[in-house]
Amino acid sequence: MAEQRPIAKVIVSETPDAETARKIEAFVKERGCGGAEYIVDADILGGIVISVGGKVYDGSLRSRLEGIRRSF
Amino acid sequence: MFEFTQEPMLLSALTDMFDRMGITWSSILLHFVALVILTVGLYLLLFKPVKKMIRERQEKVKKIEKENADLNEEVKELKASSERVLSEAKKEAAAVHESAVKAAGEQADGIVGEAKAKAKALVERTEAEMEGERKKLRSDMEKQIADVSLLVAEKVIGRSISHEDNKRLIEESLKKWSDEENG
Repeated sequence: MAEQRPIAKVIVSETPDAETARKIEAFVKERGCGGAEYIVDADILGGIVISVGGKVYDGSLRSRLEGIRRSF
Repeated sequence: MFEFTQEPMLLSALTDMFDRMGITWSSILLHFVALVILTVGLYLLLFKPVKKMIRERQEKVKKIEKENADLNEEVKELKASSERVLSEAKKEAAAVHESAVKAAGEQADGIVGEAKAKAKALVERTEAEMEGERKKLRSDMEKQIADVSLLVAEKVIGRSISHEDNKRLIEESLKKWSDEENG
């Protein structure tokens, strides 16, 4: 029986097009995930947040703005 | 002056005169003896006690004079002593006054110095507190400005970001993460 691979949690502000979705799938699979579960959350303003296992890749516009806020 | 040859005549005349006055040689002798006795009696009974009394009085006067002189001397010594004591008291009072003035001056200097130090410390503390408040106010203002700016930015970005912009952001992030992990 094949090992069950984890599903990456992907947060986006809008549903990506097919080309972007393929790139996301490829990204999460390279990191050992079986696929991606999309969550649309306009609160991140733009960009993407990917949770793979215990690691979080945060490329959202909100995190960039928070970084700017902290730098102030 | 009678001549020596005239003496018997004088004696005879004197005898005649005594006879006419009823005075005899025996009565003269008797009176002379009485006078001697009276003189001796007076000397013994009156002159000696009076002389003794006068001597005692003189001694008493001398004693009183000596006492008076002693008293005068004592008064002089007392006066000199009192003047000396008064002078020393004046000196001591002047020294006490000077010491009190000096102590009061030192105390006043101490009070003034302490007040200056307290005022300086108060000013420094107040300035430090004002500086802290200024920094805090500036920090709060900067934070509020940043919050408002970011809020505005969020609203603007939320409205203005296009599908293409979002796609480019996602792809740039994926590429960046891949590059970082692949070295």
